[in-house]
Amino acid sequence: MMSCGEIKDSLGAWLDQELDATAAAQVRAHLEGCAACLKEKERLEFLDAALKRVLESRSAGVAFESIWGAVERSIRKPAPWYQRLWDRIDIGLSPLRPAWVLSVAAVLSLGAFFLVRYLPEWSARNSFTFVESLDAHGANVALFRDSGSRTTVIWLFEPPEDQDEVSEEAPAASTGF
Amino acid sequence: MAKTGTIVELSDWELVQRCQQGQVSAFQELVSRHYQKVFVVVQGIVNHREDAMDIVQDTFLRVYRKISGFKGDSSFYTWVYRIAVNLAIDFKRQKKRAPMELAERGEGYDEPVEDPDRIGSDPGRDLQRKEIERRLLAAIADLTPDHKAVIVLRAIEGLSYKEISRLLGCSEGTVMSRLHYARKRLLEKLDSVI
Repeated sequence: MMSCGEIKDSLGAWLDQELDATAAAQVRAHLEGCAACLKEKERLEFLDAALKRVLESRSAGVAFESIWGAVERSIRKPAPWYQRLWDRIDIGLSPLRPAWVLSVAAVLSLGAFFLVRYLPEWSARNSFTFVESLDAHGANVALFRDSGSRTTVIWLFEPPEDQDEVSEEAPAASTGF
Repeated sequence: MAKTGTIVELSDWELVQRCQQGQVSAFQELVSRHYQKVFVVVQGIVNHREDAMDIVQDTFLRVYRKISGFKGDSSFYTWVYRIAVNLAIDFKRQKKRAPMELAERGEGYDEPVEDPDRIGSDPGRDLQRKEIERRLLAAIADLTPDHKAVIVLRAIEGLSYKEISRLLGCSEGTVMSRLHYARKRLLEKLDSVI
């Protein structure tokens, strides 16, 4: 036995003929004996009729020429190359949505994670080792990076004596790590 | 509009096939068949006549550009509605993100249009009807674009929940709950007049 609250929650779907036969029969039986729910059903019917009337009356009087004229001008004008390219790529069902972008980003991130996690030989292929020198405001700095072992070694060297332009931030130690 | 006797008798799918062969007059016939209903749905969502005109024009332009890829998996009007509704929803979301711009442009929502044929001899009843329409439009304007889309598609087109779910790309349960919520909100706003 459905309560009045449950019946009221189902009335819209019942009016739309979207309830299964059992639920629809329960609603119908309840309405025969419940004035409050019957009143709610009438309000819903009134609302649906008013909605249709209001929306349709506001849209009356749109001339075909006003729509077609603009569409025809646009389709006669050749689309730029990027538009044609996009039309081929885009499936045309809906514009790009933030939710889609986030989903794609999440899938790509997961893919990258599993690639690195379970295919170490793939990431090993991309390992690199190099040494570079940097000009750090007068101090000499050299970096050694090895992505395979994820190691970075930093050398700091005393500047030559004839160069007195030393940054305040340069460490005093001759070597460091 | 000049129509040939042959074209007006063709089905939507036959017209689509002619469009795919480059026949613009076939597309013109398709637009003439569907523009009014598409306009009603779009205006129901964006609640602004000029914006709705722009979106409907954009919809048919997109339809034309993509029609070569249309395989007829769904009906033509469902496909057109899907594009139109998505454009309208995205438009509303963008507008919501730029309320200041909207205010600066001095734009607002359309007021109810008085249909001369519907003016009756009972001033009291006319006044009540106008009040209901005014409140109803304000209540629709307060709904989110997703809720507007389901209630408009159901009210105007009488589409089934399954059709609406396909069109909006959501589940039938979502359609049902959005419709329930939207109707409840609209009834609350009309509480004192109906």
